[in-house]
Amino acid sequence: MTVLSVTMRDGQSIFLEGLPPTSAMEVMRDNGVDELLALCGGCLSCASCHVFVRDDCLAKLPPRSTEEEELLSESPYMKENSRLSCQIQMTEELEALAITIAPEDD
Amino acid sequence: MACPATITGFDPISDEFLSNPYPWYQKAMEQTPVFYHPDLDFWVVTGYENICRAARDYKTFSSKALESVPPPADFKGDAPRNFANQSIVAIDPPEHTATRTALQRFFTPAAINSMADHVKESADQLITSLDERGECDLMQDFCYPLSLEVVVEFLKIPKDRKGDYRQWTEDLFSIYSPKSKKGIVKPMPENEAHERWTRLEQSAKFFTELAEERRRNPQDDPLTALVSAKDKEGNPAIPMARILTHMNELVAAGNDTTANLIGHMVLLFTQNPDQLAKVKADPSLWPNAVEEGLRIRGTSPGLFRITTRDVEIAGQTIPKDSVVWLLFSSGGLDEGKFDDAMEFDVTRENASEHLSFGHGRHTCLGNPLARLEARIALESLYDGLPNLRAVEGQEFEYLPTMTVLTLEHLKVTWDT
Repeated sequence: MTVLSVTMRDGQSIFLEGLPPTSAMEVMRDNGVDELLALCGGCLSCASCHVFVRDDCLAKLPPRSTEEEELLSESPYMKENSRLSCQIQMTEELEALAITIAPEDD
Repeated sequence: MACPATITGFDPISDEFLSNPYPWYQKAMEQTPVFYHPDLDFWVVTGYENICRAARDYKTFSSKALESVPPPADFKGDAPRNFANQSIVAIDPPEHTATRTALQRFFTPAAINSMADHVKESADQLITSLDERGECDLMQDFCYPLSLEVVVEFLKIPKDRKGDYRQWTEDLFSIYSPKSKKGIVKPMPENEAHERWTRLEQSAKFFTELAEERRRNPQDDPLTALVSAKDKEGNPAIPMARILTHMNELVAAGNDTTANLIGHMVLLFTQNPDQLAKVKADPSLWPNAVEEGLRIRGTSPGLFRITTRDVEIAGQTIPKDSVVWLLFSSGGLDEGKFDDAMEFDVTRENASEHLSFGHGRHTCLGNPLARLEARIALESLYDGLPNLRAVEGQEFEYLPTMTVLTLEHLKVTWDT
């Protein structure tokens, strides 16, 4: 079973289990995580679903695409473990993933 | 600096362009995908990749590019003069972020799916009222009434003002004009400007009173979310002038764009009966058919941006402070992105990659509602009105706006 741990901007965490094979962004949106804006709806054209992936989970994910890299580089909060959650597929192989919602860009 | 490229004869508010923009899109994409339009002092960006690049780069292509056609000098009303530049399509972060944050929970696919039964019931009711007539004006008798009913139900605003909402929609979109350093605004006869501003003043008064009522009696609805949104310091995040514009434009966006999508899809199916046969044989194709309708005709020709620096795009250098029209609807017709782009093909695999809901941070907030409503409306129409088709040879009349597609009438007929 795939499990997603989400740490909000205020430090509180929630755990989402039994997830459909969609993106982490869609999982959070469908579970009422309002602070994740995801303005473009997942078409890889903004960076408003920016999250930090816990270091021990990073190796499970494929590398960032060029487009994702470009969009993230616009954020002053970009770090090595930055990802766009619309690009993270919640596959069975992932098993568990821990992410933190990045600060809101101005 | 080299002279900017232009396209002779281009007129975005001409009947010729509004009813059939395709030849102009093709001409632009073949000759110069980015060009300057001196008559209204703005640049035009066509082509899929050019539009995406500009829409993603919101820091260079700011959305603060709209202003209002001013009221006549003798207009005495005190309606806010800044309707246009308070619009959700004309603000940048952090204002845009505050508005989207307040509203977005109402627009998730899960929240929108709860509207399905109401859309279906409303569509069926309208069809039942029409079915023995054998002919009607689809825009006025079905598309606009349905979209208005749905958006009014969705926004939870009083239903007894529906006639006003429809009129205010046309008034709001009509006064939108791109900014211009040269003081050029969209031409509008003085008496028309007077009438539209008089009605917009009524709309401001109406939504102010409604907002005050929501402050006193909070509901689970978008207006309450707007009036109660707080910034990090706990102060109101969205000023009243912006709330008025947002409410007006939420009503407007909901009742204009989807209505036109439905109407234009009936036109497309009339012109392409083989495609209608395919969706009738396999109703699971309806969602993709809606995407294909969006791709080939869209609901908004384009939206405006203003450059915050000199920027080079498609071989043209657009100077800082230039207004730019991102012609989103041309993106769907780009042969580099869509094979046989002029063909209406309900099985097209990448149909949903159109730009008709925009691209980037300003992607249409209401897109899940538009998609749901158009699909249900079309299924209901073709189930309820046998052999529904547009009447041949009719002339089309569009509202002269650049940000939305507004067809006034569409004569249709069916077998009784």
